[in-house]
Amino acid sequence: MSVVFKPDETFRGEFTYSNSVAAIRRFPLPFAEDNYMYSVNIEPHAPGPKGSVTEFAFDVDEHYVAECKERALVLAAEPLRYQALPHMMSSQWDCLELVMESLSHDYPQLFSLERRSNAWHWINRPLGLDQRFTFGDVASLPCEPLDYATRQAQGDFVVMDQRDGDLWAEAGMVTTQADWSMDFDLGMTFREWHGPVPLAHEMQVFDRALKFLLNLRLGAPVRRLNWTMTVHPRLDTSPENYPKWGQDRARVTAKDAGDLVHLRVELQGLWRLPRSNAIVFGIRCYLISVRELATVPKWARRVHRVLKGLHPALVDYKGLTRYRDAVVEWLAPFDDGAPTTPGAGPE
Amino acid sequence: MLITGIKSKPIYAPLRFDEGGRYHLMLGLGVGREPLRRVLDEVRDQQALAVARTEVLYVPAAGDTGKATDQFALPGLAAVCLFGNSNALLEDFRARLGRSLMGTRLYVAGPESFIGMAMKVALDFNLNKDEIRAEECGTLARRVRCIHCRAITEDVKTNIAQCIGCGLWLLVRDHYSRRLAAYMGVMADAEAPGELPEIREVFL
Repeated sequence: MSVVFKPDETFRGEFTYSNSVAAIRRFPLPFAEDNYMYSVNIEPHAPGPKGSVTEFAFDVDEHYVAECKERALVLAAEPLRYQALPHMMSSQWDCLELVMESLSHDYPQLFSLERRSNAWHWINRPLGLDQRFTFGDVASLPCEPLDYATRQAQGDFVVMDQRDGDLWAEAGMVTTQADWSMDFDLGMTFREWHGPVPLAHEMQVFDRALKFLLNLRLGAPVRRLNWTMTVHPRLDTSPENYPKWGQDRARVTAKDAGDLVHLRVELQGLWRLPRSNAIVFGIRCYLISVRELATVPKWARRVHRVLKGLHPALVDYKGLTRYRDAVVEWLAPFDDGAPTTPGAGPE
Repeated sequence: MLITGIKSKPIYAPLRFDEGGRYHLMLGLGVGREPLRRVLDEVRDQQALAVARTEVLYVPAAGDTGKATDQFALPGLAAVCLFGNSNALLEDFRARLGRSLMGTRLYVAGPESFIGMAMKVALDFNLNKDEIRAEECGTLARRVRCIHCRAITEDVKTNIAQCIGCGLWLLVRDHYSRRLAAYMGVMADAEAPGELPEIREVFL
């Protein structure tokens, strides 16, 4: 079954974004149990079941065209949401190759890539792009290679250089983030970059994750899920634009929480890159309204219980303080106390 | 949102002489003179020949009119240069780094914001962290970068400060960028306009 795009849905203004029934069923719920705490929940990024969000390296779903349009809008207003330090050029080409090879291999009806030595020919049918360029020659593309490739992908991308036993966030396309800034964090070490995350440092989560990632092997990508919540299906909840979206958090009531509040799940993938030895960190954002979520009875119970018992430091960090109770109240009628089946699946 | 206790906030250790270095470049501002004097004593006692390969750049505290030889009374130093302000010192520091040799060790002593600016210059020259030492003393006033308009507000002493660029009231977080030599400032009343926490002097 090929994906049907919804090119006109929006992540701002009227917020016309929504999920089809099929998109709800494949939503990557990050809760395998009725409670949640951090863990180093890293697993191999191996192909998942057919039709699932992990079937391919990069999932292209019904929101692809609309998300690329949204990214273009953000970049037009704020070009610095894409940044790369000068020494990252080799890793930029690595990323372009990874994105183009994966998309054209996994979705041949949508994308095609022809390589004759360094003469490459890329076709992106959903976005109507046809680009011939010379691999390694920045001047042969309309913009830098990481910029070019990630304008045509869903999710944010951060490229981390590896040296001195650390990972340095030194390039990135970040327009769909949950309240962190590439512009501010550019050049930071792994621990500095994750500095604002509470509790996890004390749990040695980042020490262990860093140790693991420093040994990440080529051809053996890994993934994990992370989550927060967002009012409206707003992809750009950057700190830069906090003055525009901050007030949304104060407007949620128990009556409209189901429609306003969205579970925001990040499918994070990490790939070692072949030439630069850098690591690219993909942060793909999936949004689902609490009402859409509640169409799956197990998920309604599960999310109700997770939110109700969430650690106060996480409530604060995830910015849920003003509306967590409203969501819990909205979901309460869906939770009859029945046990939930193990695992995150809908059944 | 985590405001304090963020791990990107730099922590500095007391300055010690690095005997492994061949050239020693010391930067100080105001009360940073005392740690530098302490290290100079260590140089003299541990490796007297290194005194002639040690340079000191210093911004005296306001009202301090002492001559260079009064500030650092150690005969035989390669150079002691005094500056009227930190910008002038940093400009000279940049020029010196540009012609510095392998084996140069950097020592910085003074307020955190001064150290941050010196580190930012050192970062431009890819100095290794083993080659830099810094000791924090003096005011805790912060350089704050507005996450919304990117302007830098200097010398912030309060938990909430008005951005010099866009005028928003910014909450000063512990999140620190060495590349920018600044802390992050985020709009304090974005969720409830006009509702500002009490403004207190916290970075003194």
